[in-house]
Amino acid sequence: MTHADAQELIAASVISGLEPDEQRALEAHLDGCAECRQELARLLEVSAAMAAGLPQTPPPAALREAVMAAVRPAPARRPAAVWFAVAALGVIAGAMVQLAGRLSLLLPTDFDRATRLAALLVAVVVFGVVVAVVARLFQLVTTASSGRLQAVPAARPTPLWLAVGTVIIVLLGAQVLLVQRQNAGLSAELDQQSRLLAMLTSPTSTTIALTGSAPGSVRLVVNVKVHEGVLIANGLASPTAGSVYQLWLLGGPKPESGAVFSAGPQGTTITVLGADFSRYRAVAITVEPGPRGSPQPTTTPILTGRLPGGSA
Amino acid sequence: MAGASTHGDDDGALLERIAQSDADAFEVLYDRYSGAVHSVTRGMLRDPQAAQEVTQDVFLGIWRGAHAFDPQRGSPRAWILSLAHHKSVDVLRRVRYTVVPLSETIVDDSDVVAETLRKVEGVRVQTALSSLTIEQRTALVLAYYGGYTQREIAQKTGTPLGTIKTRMRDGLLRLRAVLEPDLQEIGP
Repeated sequence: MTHADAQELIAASVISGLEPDEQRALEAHLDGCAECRQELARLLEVSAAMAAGLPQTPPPAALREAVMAAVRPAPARRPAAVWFAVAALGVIAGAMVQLAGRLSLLLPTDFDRATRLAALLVAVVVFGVVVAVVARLFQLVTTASSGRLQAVPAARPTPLWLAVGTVIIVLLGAQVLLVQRQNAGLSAELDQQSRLLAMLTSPTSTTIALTGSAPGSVRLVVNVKVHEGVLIANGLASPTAGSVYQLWLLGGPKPESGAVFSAGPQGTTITVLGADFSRYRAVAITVEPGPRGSPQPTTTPILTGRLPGGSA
Repeated sequence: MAGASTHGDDDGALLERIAQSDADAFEVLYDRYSGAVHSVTRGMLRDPQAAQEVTQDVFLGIWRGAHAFDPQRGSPRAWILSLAHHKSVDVLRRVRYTVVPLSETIVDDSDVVAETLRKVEGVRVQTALSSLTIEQRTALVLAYYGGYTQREIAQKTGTPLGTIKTRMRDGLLRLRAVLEPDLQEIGP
């Protein structure tokens, strides 16, 4: 292509009026001709001005996202925001578990199934609300952090993710609740057993075998020093329906009630008594109407025993 | 975050950075020119969906072809708008050739020019166009706003190709003189 040919084509070129082969030939000439490049630059400004004559229509915002998405590599999951969400959920879960634990201590150890279910339900609802709030915050944080990126729509926590998280946390909470309850029961039991053991092995304790018409072995271990005693019964038959056993402390003007008890499985009973045994001479066990026994004995004692100080 | 200088960078600096795959620079350039580019694609193509596709294509072309930008051949703005125009015209021609041959669509020169001129809204450009001879205006309007090649226009108007070339060049120079205050200054 001659320089003159090129000069002729430049005008048509800037208004996209060339066939593809003409355009290619012109480009080749332009590579080696500074004068033609300058002419092109001059006329290209005119065509740009013609472009400005077209109605101004901005592209939709979604197009920006599409273009940027094609240009930017997908951001690698915005780690900061993810860790923030995980940490927040962790802290909340911990707080919930702690709260559930304390709640279980406040509740009576024998609270019934309905109460437990209600408590669990409340915990689930509260947790759900908290998770929703955190999820919203998470969304805000990720949207803010990706505001410049635009290409990636705001991360939405999937319902599955929320459901799995909620179930795990609730299960953990329930587990902790159970363990705490078991712990409380075990430690109470352990406490009682160590008291029993201490009393049984104490040198100041005395064991008295109770005798009478009832079958089985019934012994009373008393520790005069600490004002405590333990009634240990083996093979003691259950009293008739509606009745209980009642232990009386004898020595004062009137018999005083020391304990009301029933025979456990296999007739085994361990009952702790608290009394200043030095003030009494003897003990007696009668059958009384249940469940609270009587203010004064109403039947003949089935078992009796003399206390250590009783001989005095 | 983009460097503090990004928004203050001139177009040439932005294109240099885009040539090195700087997405921040590209984003600034997009925000600067997406309106002007889309106005061209949308003005040239009736189909909004097609216009969006071409606008996207233009910017991806800039992203991939920024290294090919040569400041000696025009300002960044003129280069970007000519990309938008070229690509729009390509689509226009593809559709036109596959649907109706040019010779069957044009009944009368003046009708086509009038029809095509309806695309032009800018008062300054309209005024500038009205300062041309009717022959110059026909050639420029059919080419730029109508998307016809110089050969098609010559054939259509029954005018020698050389005459069309001259009308285009004279028309552009005349427009340049009228629009001078609006045009960006070009280097030597």
